[in-house]
Amino acid sequence: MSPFSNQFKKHTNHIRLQADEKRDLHERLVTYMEYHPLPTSMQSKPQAQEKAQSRFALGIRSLNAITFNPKLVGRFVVTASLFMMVGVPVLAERALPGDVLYPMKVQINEEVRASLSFSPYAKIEWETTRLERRLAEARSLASVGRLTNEAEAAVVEAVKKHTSSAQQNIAMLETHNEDEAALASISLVSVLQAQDDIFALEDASEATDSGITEPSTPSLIASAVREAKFNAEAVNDRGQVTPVRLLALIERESTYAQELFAVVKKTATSEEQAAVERRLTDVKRKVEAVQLALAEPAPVEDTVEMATLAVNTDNTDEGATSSRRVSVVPAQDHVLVLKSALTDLRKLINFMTNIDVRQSVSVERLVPISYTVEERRDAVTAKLEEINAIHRDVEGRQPPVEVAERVMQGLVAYQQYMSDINLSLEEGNIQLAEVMVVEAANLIADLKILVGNSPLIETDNTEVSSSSASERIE
Amino acid sequence: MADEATRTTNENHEARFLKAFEEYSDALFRHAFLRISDRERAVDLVHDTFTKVWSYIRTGHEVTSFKSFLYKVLNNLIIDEYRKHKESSLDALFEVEGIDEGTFTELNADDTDSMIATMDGQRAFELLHQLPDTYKEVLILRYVDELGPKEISDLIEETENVISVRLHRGMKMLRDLVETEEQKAITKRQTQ
Repeated sequence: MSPFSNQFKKHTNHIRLQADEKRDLHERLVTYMEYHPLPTSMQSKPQAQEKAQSRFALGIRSLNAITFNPKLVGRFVVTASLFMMVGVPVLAERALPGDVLYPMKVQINEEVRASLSFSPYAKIEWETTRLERRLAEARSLASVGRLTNEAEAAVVEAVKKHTSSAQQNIAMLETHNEDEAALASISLVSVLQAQDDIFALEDASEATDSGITEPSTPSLIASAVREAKFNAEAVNDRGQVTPVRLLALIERESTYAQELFAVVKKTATSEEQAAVERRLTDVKRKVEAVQLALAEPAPVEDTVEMATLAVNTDNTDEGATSSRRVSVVPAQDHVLVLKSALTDLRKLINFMTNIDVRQSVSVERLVPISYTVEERRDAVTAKLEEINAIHRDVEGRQPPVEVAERVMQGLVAYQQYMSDINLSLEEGNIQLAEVMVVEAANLIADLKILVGNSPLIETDNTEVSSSSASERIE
Repeated sequence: MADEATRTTNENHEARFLKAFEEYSDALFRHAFLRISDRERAVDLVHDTFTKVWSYIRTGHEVTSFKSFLYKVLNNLIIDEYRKHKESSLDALFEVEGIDEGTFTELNADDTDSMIATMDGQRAFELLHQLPDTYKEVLILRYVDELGPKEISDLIEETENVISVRLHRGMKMLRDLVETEEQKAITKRQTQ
């Protein structure tokens, strides 16, 4: 190598991953491999090991007849060692409580990974993952009727233990990095919130299947999760996190969710795919809206200042003042939107990874669709058409005398609703329009009950002929 | 060949993959960091490289040489990274798209070697970040990752002639930068 090359390379040798960076990277990779395991056909086959063992045994028994092959022995030893070091722990990852390899999973595999998590944030993430694992195991056991009282108690204990451990690490992190601690806290709360919602829906679904109408007592595990969530939320309220940090976390979770979706697509029906895809798009839309808001310069005038300016310039036109009124969207609203998006993502990830969740809870109930403004406007318009049809029918009938005055007042009120709804739609206040259209629908439904099948009002000859014809038919 | 196939069939895919991580993660990080000068992003790119390769393995593909495959995936990710954050100044100034790099008959096989024989490696390293990525890429692959022209050619899917031209041009730019810096230093000493 030339002197230049030696010098050049010498100055790059110090550029390498730090020890904790490498460990974190290794851990992320192993987590990725766990969530994206090899297909069964590609995994190490124990039968191949048995064949090697039997060949070896044959060799041992017939030493005189068969030449002892050191290469074969060596290969077997290496393969067996690899299997013990890698294959068994990997198999253990799929174990459930009660299985032979389950203690290895919890007490060795997971503890090793916990000890390899050097950064407090990585430790918190790992404790959260362990919590989710215990809950997924509980669901798997429950689905096959193996969730005994002891197993349930163990899961409750695990929920408390991992949540407590995560919170202790958050407290430690807070002493030197408040921002990251707040982020970790939000992450923990979103996981617990997602799990709490799933349990609530699972319980509701179970009650419906059993024909029970009264709210059922939540299971011990569900109660433990809810309590953990409340405790985590109480701590979370003290911390502040910037939208930018949350966006980075959501981006990571979104990438993972998209990768999961790519896998799920292969087996899901087209309806399931569309449902999940729609919700992933909703999350993306929420995030993009916040990103757009953060990218734009914040409007600086507030309502008080603008009103004062209007007074000073003798502008008494109220409409002009209100049209110049602008509002500043506080950063905390962005954080709320992003937290909601993160929780939805966690629920979708749970839904896609946990077959037991998929079997007991529909994605429609787990993550309701977030309609766009246009969709909401269309829904309001469609509802208006529907209730206006009922209104035309009510208006065209002669109500009974005893309710005539009430019907008249109701129709006047209905007209006022229509006027207000149209104004709200023009102003773009979809939320108000939605509320009022529901109230108008309830009103017209009541009026319809009052008028019942009262005779139609005679308006002109055409109508009289029609009504007469209909009467003759009746 | 039969032994290799047997070993590939029986050997744990995960073990091979994790072994490749232990062996190449530092080198890949070094390459990424030298290219994009952002430590955190470089770590992410290395992570993305390995996850992509794992996804490739999961779909049933066989990776015969982890080293070249990892570098190829990483290189593509770095190119994507550049496309996202295209710097209009230097890259546009040294825009190489459209230039026919395959017909530089004036290029002598010994030109690059003779150029670097007298160049200060340390100064060249310090000024490397000023080069456009097109030249940084080949210089880092050649003098840091120690890949041969054929390997680089396979990796970035250009002919060996193009690689040689880029190495030559990159080194020439570095030499010019080093000489400019030295001239500035001399002028400064003279005026003091």
